[in-house]
Amino acid sequence: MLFSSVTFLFFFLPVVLVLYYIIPAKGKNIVLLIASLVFYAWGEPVYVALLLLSVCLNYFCGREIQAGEDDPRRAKRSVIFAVVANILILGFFKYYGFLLDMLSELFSADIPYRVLPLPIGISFYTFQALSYVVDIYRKKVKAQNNILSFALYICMFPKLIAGPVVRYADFEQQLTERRFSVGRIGQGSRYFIIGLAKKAILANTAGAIFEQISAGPASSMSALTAWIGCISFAFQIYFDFSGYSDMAVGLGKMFGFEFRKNFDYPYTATSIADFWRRWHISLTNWFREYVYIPLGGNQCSPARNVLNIMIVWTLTGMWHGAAWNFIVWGVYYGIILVMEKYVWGVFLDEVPKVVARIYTGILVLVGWVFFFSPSLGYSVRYLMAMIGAGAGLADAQGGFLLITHWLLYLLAVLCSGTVGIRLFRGITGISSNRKVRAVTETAVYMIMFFISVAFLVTDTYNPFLYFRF
Amino acid sequence: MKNRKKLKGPADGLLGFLFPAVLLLVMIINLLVPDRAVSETENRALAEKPQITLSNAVRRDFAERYENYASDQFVGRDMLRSVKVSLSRLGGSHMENGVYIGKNGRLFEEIQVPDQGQMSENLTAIKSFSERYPDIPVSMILAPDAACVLSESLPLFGGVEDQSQLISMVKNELDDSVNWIDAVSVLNRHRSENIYYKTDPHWTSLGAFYVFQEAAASLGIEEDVSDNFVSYTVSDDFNGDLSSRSGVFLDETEQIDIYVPTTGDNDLTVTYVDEARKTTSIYDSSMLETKDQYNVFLGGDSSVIDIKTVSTSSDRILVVKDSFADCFIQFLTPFYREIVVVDPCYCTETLDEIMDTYRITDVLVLYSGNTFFTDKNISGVFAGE
Repeated sequence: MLFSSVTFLFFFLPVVLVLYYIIPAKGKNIVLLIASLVFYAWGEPVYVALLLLSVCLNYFCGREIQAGEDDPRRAKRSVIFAVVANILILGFFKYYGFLLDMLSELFSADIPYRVLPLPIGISFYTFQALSYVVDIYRKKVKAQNNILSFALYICMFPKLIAGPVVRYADFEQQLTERRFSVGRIGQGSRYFIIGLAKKAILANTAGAIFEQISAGPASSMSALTAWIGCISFAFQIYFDFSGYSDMAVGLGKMFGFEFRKNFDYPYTATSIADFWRRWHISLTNWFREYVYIPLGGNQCSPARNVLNIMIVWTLTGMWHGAAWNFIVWGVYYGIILVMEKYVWGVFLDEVPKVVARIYTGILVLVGWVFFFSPSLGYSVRYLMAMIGAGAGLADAQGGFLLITHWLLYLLAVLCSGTVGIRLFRGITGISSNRKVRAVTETAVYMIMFFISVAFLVTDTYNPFLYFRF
Repeated sequence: MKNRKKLKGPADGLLGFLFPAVLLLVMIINLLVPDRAVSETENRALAEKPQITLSNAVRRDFAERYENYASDQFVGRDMLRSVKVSLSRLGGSHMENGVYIGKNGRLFEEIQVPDQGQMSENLTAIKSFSERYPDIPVSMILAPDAACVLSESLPLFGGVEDQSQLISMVKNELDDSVNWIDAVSVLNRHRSENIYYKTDPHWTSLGAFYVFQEAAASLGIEEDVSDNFVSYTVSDDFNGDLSSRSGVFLDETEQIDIYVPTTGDNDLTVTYVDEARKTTSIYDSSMLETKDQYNVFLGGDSSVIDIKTVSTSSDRILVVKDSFADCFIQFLTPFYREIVVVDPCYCTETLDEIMDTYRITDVLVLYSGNTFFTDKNISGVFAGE
């Protein structure tokens, strides 16, 4: 089920909220767990079994590692088993087809295989499970004894299918101690409505433009159109994903949970390193904690450090999908990060901020071209079109798109930075009287919600990008 | 913590009650309000509730079908749609749901670009058809769409494709295997008149009449036809399909005219072959009560229609067509004893069978550009065994 669907908004969510709050504290976790399984099964009826399998596997592995607390060799064996098992499951469902394609190519043989649909959210919940077993091994957390509580950690619906990737250490306490209040539901509602508006109004509209542009061949695209297409995609993926994260944070709050923020205005970053501190923060942190630092991080020779960075970013690319363009995208960022660290990072600190932002923006946009292209050849042709080697500098299509969507682009630019939220506060903060402000603010949020619903109900185009990962 | 404070809003208490309450309330209203079968404003059938059974529920597409149903039957859908469309237009939108919002209150269908492979297949099929019947004249009208003729009313930078070029490409390709009737220049000459509906993709009866006058000679009609018909207005509250599709100009009303021969007996029988239905008029006035009033001409889509007239002529014409022809047929009735109308979109027979059954003496192919360039059924019906 998607947060931005009528079924979720006007059926699932109100029913679950009511049940959750009328049931006494002891039963709340069970309500949430059952709701989460229904949520998953709604769009993925078969793979809910795989999800439960993963829960059981990691629950027992966690206990096993815990039991080996005083026997380092036993604990190590157990954790290696757990990690390998998780990666095999993920690898089978996500990379099996890709691997066989590669082998076919290598031996120029045609290896037939059946394409399994990718289980929704598998990359997210597997990573959470990995953080759990590794953290037990590292003695940072204790294994959970109650399998239902552990199942709730893995399956909890707000973060189940698209993150944020929550670490068990941050979640453990909340399984038993949560604060509930109307104020928190209200705070959660605000996050949720903002996220929904980002998704329904900005991301879907920008996405429709991108779809329209990328449907044509890149070689007959003018530079203007190519840039509009790329920028539209950048807005789509940002508002789509950060909107989804906002909704997840908001839903968490409505049920008494706190998640860390996953996005921090990435398009205002002043370097690529800065960008990745602001984009999909929970994933970047995961890779730093469980791959980069164990490999030696930067506490080693420069050559080894470069290798570590490249390994982490190749894996980050692969995490996004089993295709060459994602690997290229990851390697591209690895190279830029190495260069920033060892070559031009020092200059970047000295140039004016606006120059640094333009530098970052252009590199990120080029990155998105690799990301959205169905093939490497297409990305090269698209990049050529962006420098005018397609169909010249500008054409009527580009002009039409700009005129027809000027307000969208204006809003998208404002909301990518902090200007949007400051404007918003300006409107709601007209009066200093707390009661008047409460009413105006509520009215603004409800209007935003109303408009989002109008867009959702009317538009047929409502995809969700990070589903595929 | 400073950060905490900033995150807490004064509205939290109020919103914490209101938001869940609104969700619950809308849910209850949605459950109580009965489902609709069709949407009048959108002019389409709405999704029905998928049956909730175990075998359905384990299918991956069940959630999607249910979501389509839930948003189609959402209470206040029409109002929400007009809110969305108004906001987009405020934001500069000149296109809604694939429909251009032009100047002077006009809506336009986008010009479609043909798939090259499909296109050459279609043209080869038409050519070989005409070669199979060397004694039977085949005429062809490829009517330009409104966006081609009235391009000055398109929004700024709208209308990228030049349809008249596509049409002349077809003309050159077919060469002398058909009698080509140049609808583009006729309609261009009359562009200032009301030859296309503003809210519908079709041409008006007037537009069709001008093209008919041009076509008469090629169809072997010797007399001057310009004074042969008199027009009657049958509707003045037509709001067309482009309005339904886009949700724009839903208040605009237009006039539909029919053209009736001034002289002579005009008795005829119309047989809808597959439906085994007979009427005595090419007009279906019951359609004026529906949203899609253009269907007054021949009652809308049908596979094969056989029209028998009392004309003194002995000619029998086959019209292979899309819906543009529906309002063109009225001009043919005085000049043919029998008119067989075939829409390849719905027809399963091949033209060879029809040529034989009805002992056809003339063939007219009448399409609008957009249908001709996208219809995948054309090559199939024209191709021989």
